[in-house]
Amino acid sequence: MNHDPTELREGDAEVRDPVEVLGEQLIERRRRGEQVTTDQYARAYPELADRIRMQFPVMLALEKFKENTLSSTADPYDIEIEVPQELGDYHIIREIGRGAMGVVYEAEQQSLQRRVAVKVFPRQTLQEARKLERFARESKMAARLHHNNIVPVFGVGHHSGLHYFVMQRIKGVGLDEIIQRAKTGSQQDLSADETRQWRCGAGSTADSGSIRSLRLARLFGRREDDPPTTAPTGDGAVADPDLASEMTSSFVRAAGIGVQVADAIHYAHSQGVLHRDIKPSNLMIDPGGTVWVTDFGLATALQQDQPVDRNDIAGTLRFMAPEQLSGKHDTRSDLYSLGVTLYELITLQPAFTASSKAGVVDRILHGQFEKPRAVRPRIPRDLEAIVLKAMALAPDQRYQNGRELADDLTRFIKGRPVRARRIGSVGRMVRWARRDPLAASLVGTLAIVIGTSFVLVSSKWREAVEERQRAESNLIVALESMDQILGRFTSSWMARPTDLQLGPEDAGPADAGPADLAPGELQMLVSDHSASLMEDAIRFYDRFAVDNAPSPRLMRDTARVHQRAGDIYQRLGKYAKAEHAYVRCLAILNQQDADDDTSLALTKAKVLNQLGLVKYATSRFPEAERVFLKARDVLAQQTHREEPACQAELARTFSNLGQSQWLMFHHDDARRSHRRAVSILESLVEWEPDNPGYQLALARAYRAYYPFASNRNSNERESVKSAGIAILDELVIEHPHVPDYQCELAEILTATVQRYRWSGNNQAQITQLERSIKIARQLSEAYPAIPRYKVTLADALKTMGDLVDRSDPTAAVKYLNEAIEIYRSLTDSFPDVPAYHFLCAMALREHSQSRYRIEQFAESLASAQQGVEDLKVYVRLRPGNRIAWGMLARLLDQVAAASMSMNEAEDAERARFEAQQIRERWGSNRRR
Amino acid sequence: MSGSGFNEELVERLQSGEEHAFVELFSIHRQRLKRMLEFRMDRRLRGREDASDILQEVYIDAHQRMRHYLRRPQLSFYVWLRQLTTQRLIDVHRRHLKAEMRDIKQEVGINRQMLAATSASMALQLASVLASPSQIAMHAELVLQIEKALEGMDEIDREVIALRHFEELRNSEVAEVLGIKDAAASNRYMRALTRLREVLQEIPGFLDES
Repeated sequence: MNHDPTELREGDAEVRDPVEVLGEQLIERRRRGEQVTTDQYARAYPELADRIRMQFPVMLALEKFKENTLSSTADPYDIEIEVPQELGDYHIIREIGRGAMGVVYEAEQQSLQRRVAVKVFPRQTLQEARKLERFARESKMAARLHHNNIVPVFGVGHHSGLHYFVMQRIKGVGLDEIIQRAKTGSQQDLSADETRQWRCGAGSTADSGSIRSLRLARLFGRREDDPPTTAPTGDGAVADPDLASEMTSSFVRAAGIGVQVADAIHYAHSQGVLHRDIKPSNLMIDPGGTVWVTDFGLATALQQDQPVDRNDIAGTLRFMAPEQLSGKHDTRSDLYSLGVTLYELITLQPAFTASSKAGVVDRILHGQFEKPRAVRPRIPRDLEAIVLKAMALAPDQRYQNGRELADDLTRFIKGRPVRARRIGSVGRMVRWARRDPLAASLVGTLAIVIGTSFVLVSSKWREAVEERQRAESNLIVALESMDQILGRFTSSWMARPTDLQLGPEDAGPADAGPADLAPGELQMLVSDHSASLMEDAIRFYDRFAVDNAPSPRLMRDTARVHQRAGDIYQRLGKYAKAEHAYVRCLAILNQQDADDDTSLALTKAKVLNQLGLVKYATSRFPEAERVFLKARDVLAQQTHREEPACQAELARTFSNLGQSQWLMFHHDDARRSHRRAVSILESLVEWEPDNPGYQLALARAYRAYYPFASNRNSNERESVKSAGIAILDELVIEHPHVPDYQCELAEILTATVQRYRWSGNNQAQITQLERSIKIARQLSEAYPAIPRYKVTLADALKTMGDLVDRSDPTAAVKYLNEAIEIYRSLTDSFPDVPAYHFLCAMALREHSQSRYRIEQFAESLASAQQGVEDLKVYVRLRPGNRIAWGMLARLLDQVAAASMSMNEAEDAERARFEAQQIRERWGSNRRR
Repeated sequence: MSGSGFNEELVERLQSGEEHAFVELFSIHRQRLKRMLEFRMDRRLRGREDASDILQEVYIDAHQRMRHYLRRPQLSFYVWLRQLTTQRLIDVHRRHLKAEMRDIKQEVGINRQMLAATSASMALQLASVLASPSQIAMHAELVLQIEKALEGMDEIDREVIALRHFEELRNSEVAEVLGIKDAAASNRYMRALTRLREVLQEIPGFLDES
């Protein structure tokens, strides 16, 4: 066993890697239970120490996994239970089914002479005392449930070590089986669907199974299993009215099943019992069409204390709610599972499929599934909307209880408009739309709702101005609705539900959360079109205000619409318009007395911060600083300044302040501001760990603080970095559809890359940047109208170019080229935003240096000259910025160097002179 | 339990005709073989086939061919057993999947390759160390990451990792199984570790030695 690695070097040219030889030894000793460590080996073999420290941890990690994973992966259905003929009072007749948790037998209860179903659990399931106790408790709870749609539990028992559960025997069939049969039927049907072939009976499904299956399929009403009843007409294109009604009724029946299950779930929840495993195979349908939910509470009773192995949750993975995967489960998770069940029932397809379990998990977590109507276009929109709402990723956006779901399904059955299609808080707009049948038919997608709503808001406004009597109340309604529409806009980018203030009528829990809007829908909201519609609307307010003294409420609502408009413009990179909107908003807010009104003060501080950010984005740092300071004062003067919301805003203010101070060379001030922000937010997050708004702010504060974190004490930097990234990673996982979280993640990944080329592990930095680039690229492709995402992408590309410059100049140039291209398109689209010119110049400088190093002097010169041009634009727009002048001087140096190398001595001299002049004027050789 | 000296002694006893040495030897390797079966068996067969049953057949096979093997051992004893087991597993796969043959062919042919460690199965194994409830959400992402890293690897490198860590083979055995030189197996192993390290080190605490 005692390999000497040096010995192996001799002789043969092809030798085993000495580190591998030692590694094998380490692993074998560890497998024998010896406590040997990487460190011992590293010290024993100093000449190999570096590589040992690199490779051994990976080996040990691999060993660790194995211990965890190679537990038995037996199929849950392969349960071996040897059941005696008699289980206590019960005489076993035959097996009638098996599930993940046990085998079900039909039995006769001898004392009462009745037929029952007995579910017997494998011995190992209930070995632990604690589990057994839970099992007894849960079964007792389940036995107390009395509902028409819940299989009655008679009791539990044990006999010679076997535990069992006695239920009423239901003569019915599992919904899973029904779906399976319907699927077989429909597959045959699909090929012939609506074609003459089918009508001629060529695709006859006469014998797809037993009589029973036919009856079952009828029960569920799928006409695919019915033999064709229509004579060939030769006119395949026209839908047969009978057929259509039959189809409709099958969906109605599916909804009917849903109603019964939702009812049962609601009742059980009211009794404090969660099901936790709703899926087709736990739903039985009897010949009368009644649905029976079985196994209530069993999942809880039998759950693993710690699902260490994925296989523990594998059985019913595809019906599990996303939060369930991380161990959370509440009433809404049951409803989610019912949603997935209904999905499968109406589409005859699982909602989530992937080649691996990990893939399924991934899809569930991201809510990735095809919409039902994409699978089967004939599914009624309302039914689809109900299923989608039940399956919403965030529990807040689902039906909040079984009753709501049952009611909505009932509405669908009765042909009344369903609530699921009132899309959240725009509900009021939709109600308006309903009065108009044309509009009502349009209200299918959110995009259309918004379009309609804007029009309606405008007309409301007009009405308001024209009929003076009811004017103000009408205006308030209109403004509120407008605000709610726009509130969705803000909250969808940020997922900060706290920003969403609901009108009293819409404050129902079903409407509470912000929607996860799809990129397209967000695009709709964040367009010039919607912004200008908004401005139109505001004009009505102006006209009204000329003749009337508006009430405080009206003023506040108007201010909020201004604020939202500002947000949209800012996002679109239209800073001048955004600034205008914020200024107007502040003008209205300032007319009100903010001293003892926390929410007003808070709004004011928020708007000030936004205004400051606009100024910051347009490189007016001293002005930005003043505005941020004002925001700080507003918050500091508050009587309720200790409230978390105020503290959070204060922290944001400091964070913003720090950034502008930094760019004004006020290094110490900046550092202090960032520290304040971080410390406030750290305590807020500790106080309220589930508030994503605080988390985002903290991550952002970490990123801003990162450059100031002590470099000597490398721990601080590293921990700031990893904490920030960890927060964002989590946010992105929890809210996969919120673009700003992703953007923030990309930004922190880029910002915390160690740019020093000498720093050891470049590969890690490159991986980090690759990730950032990937995220930013997806974002800027999904949201082409949003400049911030482009900047994020370009910045990551530029940083990458910088990083790989020494090792791979060709790749570096490629990255830099792309970055420059992006910045160039931004300077073209937004010529009055100085920052893009500056950023472009920085990338050009990098590009120029890179080319210079590989002696492509002409290209180097061209880039440097272009960079000079961009910086000149910048300093023309913002002549007071010292950093820009310093950068210009350095770019001129670069021009001089490249010119010299091309033997253009005169040009070189001219550039050098210009640089010299700048330096004299700005009196600084300080390098940053 | 793969201390080679111990085994060699047993093999010697076996050669000198001690019947129960065979039982002893087989039971030493049984655990490893079972692990190998569990790791390599097609997902669709789990639950339908039991590793212990297959090992039973392997045991009989080995016993019958023992003499032949001992006459001129070309492989180490474990690798030989492993080969018999692989053969059995292939048979089992054939038997079960014949009906579904058409579909399967598109995925992987029924041959040695089918038993190769797939990126997906390995990634799942690797990542499941994190599968505590609070980490499960992170888990999916992680699996995909590791899967990608494994996919990017040379197929044989990947196999080397599987053999060394999931089947607990030593370098020489790995070389034997794959029919490559010791040095090559060693270098491939180190290369694969380096690749994995890139992914794993991104995960906080993952490479901590505890």
